[in-house]
Amino acid sequence: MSDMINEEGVSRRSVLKGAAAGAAVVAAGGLLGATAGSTAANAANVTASFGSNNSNPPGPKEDAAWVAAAAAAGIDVKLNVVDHNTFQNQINTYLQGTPDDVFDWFAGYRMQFFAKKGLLTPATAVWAKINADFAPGFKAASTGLDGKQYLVPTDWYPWALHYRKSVWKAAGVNPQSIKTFADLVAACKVFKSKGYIPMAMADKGGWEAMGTFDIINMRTNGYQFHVDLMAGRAKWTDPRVQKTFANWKTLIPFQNKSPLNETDQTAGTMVLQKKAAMIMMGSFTSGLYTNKADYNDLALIPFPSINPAYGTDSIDAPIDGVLMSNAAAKNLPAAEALMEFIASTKFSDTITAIAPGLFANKHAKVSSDPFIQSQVKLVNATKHVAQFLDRDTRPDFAYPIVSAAIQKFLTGGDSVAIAKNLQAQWDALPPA
Amino acid sequence: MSNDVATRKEVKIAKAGRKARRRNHNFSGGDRATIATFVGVPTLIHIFMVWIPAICTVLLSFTFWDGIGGLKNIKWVGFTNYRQIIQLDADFGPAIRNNLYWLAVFALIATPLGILLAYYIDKNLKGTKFYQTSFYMPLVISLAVTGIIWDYIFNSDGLINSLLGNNTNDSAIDFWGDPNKNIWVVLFIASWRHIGYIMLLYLAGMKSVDPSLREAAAIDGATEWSTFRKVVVPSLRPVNVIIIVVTIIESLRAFDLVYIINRGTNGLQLLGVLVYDNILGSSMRIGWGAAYATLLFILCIGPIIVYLYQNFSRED
Amino acid sequence: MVTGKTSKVGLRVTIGLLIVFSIVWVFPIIFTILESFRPYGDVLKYGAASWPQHLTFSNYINALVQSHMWSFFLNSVEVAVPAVFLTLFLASMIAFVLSRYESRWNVALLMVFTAGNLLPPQLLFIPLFRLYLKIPVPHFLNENGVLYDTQLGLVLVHVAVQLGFATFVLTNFLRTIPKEISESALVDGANVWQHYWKIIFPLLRPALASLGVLMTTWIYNDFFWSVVLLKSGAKRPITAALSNLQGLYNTDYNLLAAGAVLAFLPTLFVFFSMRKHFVAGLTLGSTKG
Repeated sequence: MSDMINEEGVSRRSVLKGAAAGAAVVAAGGLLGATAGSTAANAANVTASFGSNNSNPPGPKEDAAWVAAAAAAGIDVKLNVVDHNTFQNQINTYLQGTPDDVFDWFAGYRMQFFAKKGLLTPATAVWAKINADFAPGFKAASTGLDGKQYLVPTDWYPWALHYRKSVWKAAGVNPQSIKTFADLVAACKVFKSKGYIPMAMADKGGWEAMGTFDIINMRTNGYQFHVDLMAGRAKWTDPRVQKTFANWKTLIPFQNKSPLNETDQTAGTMVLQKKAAMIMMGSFTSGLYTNKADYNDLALIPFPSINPAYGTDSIDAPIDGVLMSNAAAKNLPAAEALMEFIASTKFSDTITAIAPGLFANKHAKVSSDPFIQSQVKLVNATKHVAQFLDRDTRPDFAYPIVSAAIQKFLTGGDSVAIAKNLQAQWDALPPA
Repeated sequence: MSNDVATRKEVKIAKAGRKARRRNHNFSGGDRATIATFVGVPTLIHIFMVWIPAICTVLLSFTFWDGIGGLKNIKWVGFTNYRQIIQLDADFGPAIRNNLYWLAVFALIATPLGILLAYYIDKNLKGTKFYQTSFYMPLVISLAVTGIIWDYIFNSDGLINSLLGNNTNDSAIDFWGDPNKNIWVVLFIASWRHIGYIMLLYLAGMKSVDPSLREAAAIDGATEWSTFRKVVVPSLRPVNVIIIVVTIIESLRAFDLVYIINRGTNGLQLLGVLVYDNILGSSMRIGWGAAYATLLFILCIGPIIVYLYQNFSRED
Repeated sequence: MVTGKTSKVGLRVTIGLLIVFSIVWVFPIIFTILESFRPYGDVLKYGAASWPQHLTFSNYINALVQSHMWSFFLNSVEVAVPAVFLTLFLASMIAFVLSRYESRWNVALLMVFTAGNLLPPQLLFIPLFRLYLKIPVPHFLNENGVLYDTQLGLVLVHVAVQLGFATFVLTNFLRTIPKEISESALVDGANVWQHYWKIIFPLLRPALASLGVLMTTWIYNDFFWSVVLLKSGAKRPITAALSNLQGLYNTDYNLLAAGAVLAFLPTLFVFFSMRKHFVAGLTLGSTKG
């Protein structure tokens, strides 16, 4: 699927002068989830509720902006914002409780799992209308095991090594020279000698370091092994898993000592504040760069090749989007109208004006700023796109099992014992 | 003890009252309805929303259920959940260990320190109001806020590291992220609250001790400290029991503080958190969560019975 | 007060130690308040242990305006106040019966309440969650029409749990009040309601006040139930809403400090203005009579 996204979905994007400053036009967002439809109190408008997990900056601004745009387009949105971590943690009770009609989620195993359990309303009718706007790869990623589409994808972002150009320049390291793992280690040594934390690492939330595991695993053992491992076809006791851990171990001396006390935001801030030289993180880390000069200094390179057999042919580039809960069945026309709106370029262009990114709609404007362009280039050059560890495997396996295992590894746990326990826990999972 | 005299008097009055009431036991219909409402409404609310859910949880611990698709999807599996959490859950061991640490620190350090402080405060020394206020203050602040308050003090770039001159990443002490350190930091903070609580309870108890007892001991030439140990502490049996119960129950129920710090992962696992995680978290292993909850329940039963015995043994 | 036996040196050491302890105890609170007035940039530049260079209200303005702390505070009040009144009212009724009308069920009933108060809340959550999804409520309370995700639901759970403690405490309190007082009412031919409302309730007032102050702080400070029984971010009480702030301002400790201060200020205020009641409330349950 990933190939198709690259060929059809991203490269054809038109170009827009991205203006992060454009956010100023939007009133400060509502964490409160106040009904934001007041801007267009049109009696003819339909009303749908929306559960947002977009609580961290610039989320509130984005939400306020698109809710206003939706109202103008005839849909009053009742926004319910829950702080990101709580929303992610409580998704199960949320969906079983009284969910909003439409809510933030993403492609991958967990979406399919919810669909299978009957917690979602299919969006096939919506897809019939929006089909032409999306590359087939996105459609495939939006489809459940029953062949029906559930997700309307909005945007996606690659995971890569993010850094500040000025820091690398000052340290005398050329980013383009990082081709192999050995190059990366050598660069880390230089940064360390200059007093930087070579690699900022976070894993307080239990998910941040999964991106590093994924990429080292895919570089070491290839994309197919990642897929097999996540699906339980390959075993965690496979010696290849140990190779992944061994490679990661080489990098640990170059990480900050306190990864388990850092979140994606605090670790990202280390790079922003020039304390750390780079971070393996999703490109959403750019959300921290609120100052234009800082943002222009931000750049990324792909994680370098480890095993020449696989080169740099795969990355994590998760697709975010929106789903309809089974509550939407009672308010279907409005919920579908909202889904359709979110699929449209009206939505993506509103967001781009605040925080440029890679949008799923093939007609969406693509910011010309170099950071966005480098993301486009990266995903285009990649053959296999994985979703992310916690999206590619069973939810009850990702948390708290894999998350705790990686935390244990980061605090010096024995990787053989960790892998053995992982397999034992996988085997004990109740049938999905 | 003067209390005993009072109690005996009460019992006599109660007995007299009972006789009196037996004579008037022909309640009117209205009175009957009033009494039924007075007892019935609170009892129903409490039993329906506390005891019945508690029993349901215990039953659920013997089942597999992912929480979806209604009650018909519940599968009876006997003790499988218990076997699995003990054998497989990597968090089980750390959680039991941390709850035991919690109990040990409270029982061996925080509670005795609270009692000791109560002893000194009771002397009504100069500035006693200031001391009392300081020790009580943490009690009114929620544990969630407490977590935030201490966060920065112990952070890698926070106050303590800053004072120690640990300004670089390599020299900074990782109080929060290091699983061998963070539990002790948390226990320090939990003690910060607990000590004041114990002190308060003990102080109130000491006020009720008959001053003549102390005076008698003082005349006998006992030092103040030995008077406290030999006269005051033993005469405070009810308070002592309550303090033991409070210490145990609070150690078992701990949740908020670690949850706000790192959701109770990485060295801060607790039984209370594992209940929450398995039920509300991504995993939806309600059976596991219920099994943890039941374990917690079993551990709480002992102290609860002691407490009940203490409070009701003197009644008929 | 017994005096004597302690030497002067001993006394000085004791006072010294008490002062040191007290300072250690209040320090984190003072530190947080101080940090909440410092701009983030200041701390970034000079380090956490530095003496404040500038003081500012901007953290408070940010916390109040951007993060809607005020409405989260109102949410807390909307839950705590009805919950406390309802609990005290119901508990005073049953405590009245249990202490004034002998029955062989009284002790058993009191044990149920007392033990219920000690159960861990995690034990109750799953069935209550299911139950809340089944109990219908009018649509003006919750457009989804069920008790889940309503403040009423939160109030009810607090009432149910706190009833245990309140019943226990109030029954014990009433048992210390001589029954002759009741006898005279009965002689006057008062019915049960009059007996409760005219005779007993006024006597209960000091205990109710103390218990009320204590429970207000407990319910206000609750974290667990508000996180698990509410879905809507906007309905969250202030303690649970602080996690919003944590996500939003992860790296800006000073803003977080301002949020924390706003969250604990009301309880500190209650504490300082009603310290006697707070202390009395906590000890009501511990000393029998």
